[in-house]
Amino acid sequence: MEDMIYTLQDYMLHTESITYIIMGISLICVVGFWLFLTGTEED
Amino acid sequence: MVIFEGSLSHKAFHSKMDKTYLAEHEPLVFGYAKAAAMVLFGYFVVKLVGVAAGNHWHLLGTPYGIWFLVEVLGFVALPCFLFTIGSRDQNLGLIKFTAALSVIGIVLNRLNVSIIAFNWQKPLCERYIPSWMEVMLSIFMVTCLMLVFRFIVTRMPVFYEHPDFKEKHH
Repeated sequence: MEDMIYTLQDYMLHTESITYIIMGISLICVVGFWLFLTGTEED
Repeated sequence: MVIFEGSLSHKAFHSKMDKTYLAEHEPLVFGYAKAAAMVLFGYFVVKLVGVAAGNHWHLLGTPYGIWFLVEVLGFVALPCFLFTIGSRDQNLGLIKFTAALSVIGIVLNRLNVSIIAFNWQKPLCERYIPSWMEVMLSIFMVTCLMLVFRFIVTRMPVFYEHPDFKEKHH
């Protein structure tokens, strides 16, 4: 069932939730990306 | 931009460059490529967050949304990936190609903001389209900048150390 947005509170909760999830996933991904980027470098 | 400009300078002013400059060029390009990959990764996330914060997911299917995806995937995510591969494999040719792709992406982004998507809701006849004089003025300015750059690097010690000051390092 599709969630309906009736108030600004609903809208902010919806968009901020997705934004924070994306930011959290990105922070985890950036570590993996950095390790992949520098993976072939010698110490 | 620095990698792209450096590649052009290498083609045009190779004879002006001394051994130290040439020796330091490649490691510098690999360092820039790594930095560019990280910056593009961050920019991609910022773009994604921008769509999420405005709850604009439904607009991605529209013609302007698809054009936005072309810009973000083709000229941000793809250069990010190619810079990463170029940096990992120490592939100078790939990094130079990706640098040119990124410069095209920057130009495309500025055109999207200032011309293509500017006043997008109005009909085409009411939208801003630069006149030929504005285009010629832009070409003139870029040509002047290139001539000034050429004037400086052919007359001043930019790509080489001045013979009188070789011993005096700071």
